[in-house]
Amino acid sequence: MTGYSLCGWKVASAFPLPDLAAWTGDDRPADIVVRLDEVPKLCDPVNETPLMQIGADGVCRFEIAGVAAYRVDAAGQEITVAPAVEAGVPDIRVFLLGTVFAIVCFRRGLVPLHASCVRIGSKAVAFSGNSGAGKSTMAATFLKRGFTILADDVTVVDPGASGGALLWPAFPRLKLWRDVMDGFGLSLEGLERARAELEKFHLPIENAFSAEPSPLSTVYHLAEARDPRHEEFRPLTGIEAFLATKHAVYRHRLGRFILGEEGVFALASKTAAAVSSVRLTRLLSLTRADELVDEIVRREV
Amino acid sequence: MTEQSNSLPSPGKWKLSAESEIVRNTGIIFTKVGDETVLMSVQTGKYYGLDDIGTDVWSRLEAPIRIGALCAALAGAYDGAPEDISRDVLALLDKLVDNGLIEVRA
Repeated sequence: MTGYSLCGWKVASAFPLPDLAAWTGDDRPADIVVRLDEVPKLCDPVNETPLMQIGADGVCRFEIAGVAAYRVDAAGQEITVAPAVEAGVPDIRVFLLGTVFAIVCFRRGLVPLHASCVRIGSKAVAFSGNSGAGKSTMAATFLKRGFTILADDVTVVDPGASGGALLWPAFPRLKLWRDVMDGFGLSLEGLERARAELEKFHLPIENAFSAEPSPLSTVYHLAEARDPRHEEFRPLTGIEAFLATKHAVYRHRLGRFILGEEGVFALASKTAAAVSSVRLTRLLSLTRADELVDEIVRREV
Repeated sequence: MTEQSNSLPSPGKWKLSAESEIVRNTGIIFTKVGDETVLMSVQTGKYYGLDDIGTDVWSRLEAPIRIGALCAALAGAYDGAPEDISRDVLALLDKLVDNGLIEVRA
């Protein structure tokens, strides 16, 4: 089995996971094992949706027809994959590193945020927003300016770390939409399509990727301004900070399904308490991206 | 206190007096976020926010306390006329009761 690094966990996988960085730490036993085996339906689920089942023992089963079925044990330590297609097909990894990874985070008390993340000085700064809100663009702009990218699309936070929230890097890849890439003049050739029907591409960023955790100082919740006069940085406190953070939890409905409403409240409120929350309303246009980077850096140092 | 929504029917006005004993509802979970507090009703799934003063009041409601004693303690902690403070505290407690965040024991 090959060893990979994911959020500080050592992952041993029965099949290659080129989206992850290779494990370079000690030779301890794997924290998470990915096996290939059959994943039968749970006979007596306590909760069920068309795609997901959860058993009384906490085992989750998740299936995407025509791609794979996945099983995650209650501790988030063992992942079993039953591919419906050959194991090398990228779609299998898309769901493994999306939904299945989110299940593992929830099971291990980490909070996956739908956010990209960059390092500014010794601190990590995250940009959250819905799909298309500009998370990847923000990260790519920082990358172009020589900053290190810590996470793209999903930022994993340990809100309970002593000394404040910690950001754990997940994937050394950027997902970029075609128009963003065209805007940056990066070549699409040679990049693997993330999912066949999505116009989104994986851009490897290994040289600038860091596998070490960083203290997470601020989550910028991205919003769009139609007019430059409406651009602003607005600090969020209390319930506003909580609601923005809860909204930023990646797959929060899944979190509720697995941990219950109370579990999601606990994770989101702990995270809101441990970081600064700022609503960043700005134009989506790339032309002012550099000014925005300057302003964020100025606020963080 | 700010509410996420106002969909809950009011359970009816309680007659709060200085003699009333109040305590946090055990079905409420909460976390301090900065100087403020966010709360969730486990029963309804609704969220609530308390500002810094509301957070101070909430911190004094862990064990049952008579409203008179609560107002006296707050009058000692804040500037302002005791009757103004009592009126503000009663207005807040009224909202907390209406939304099931605290219970009136007597």
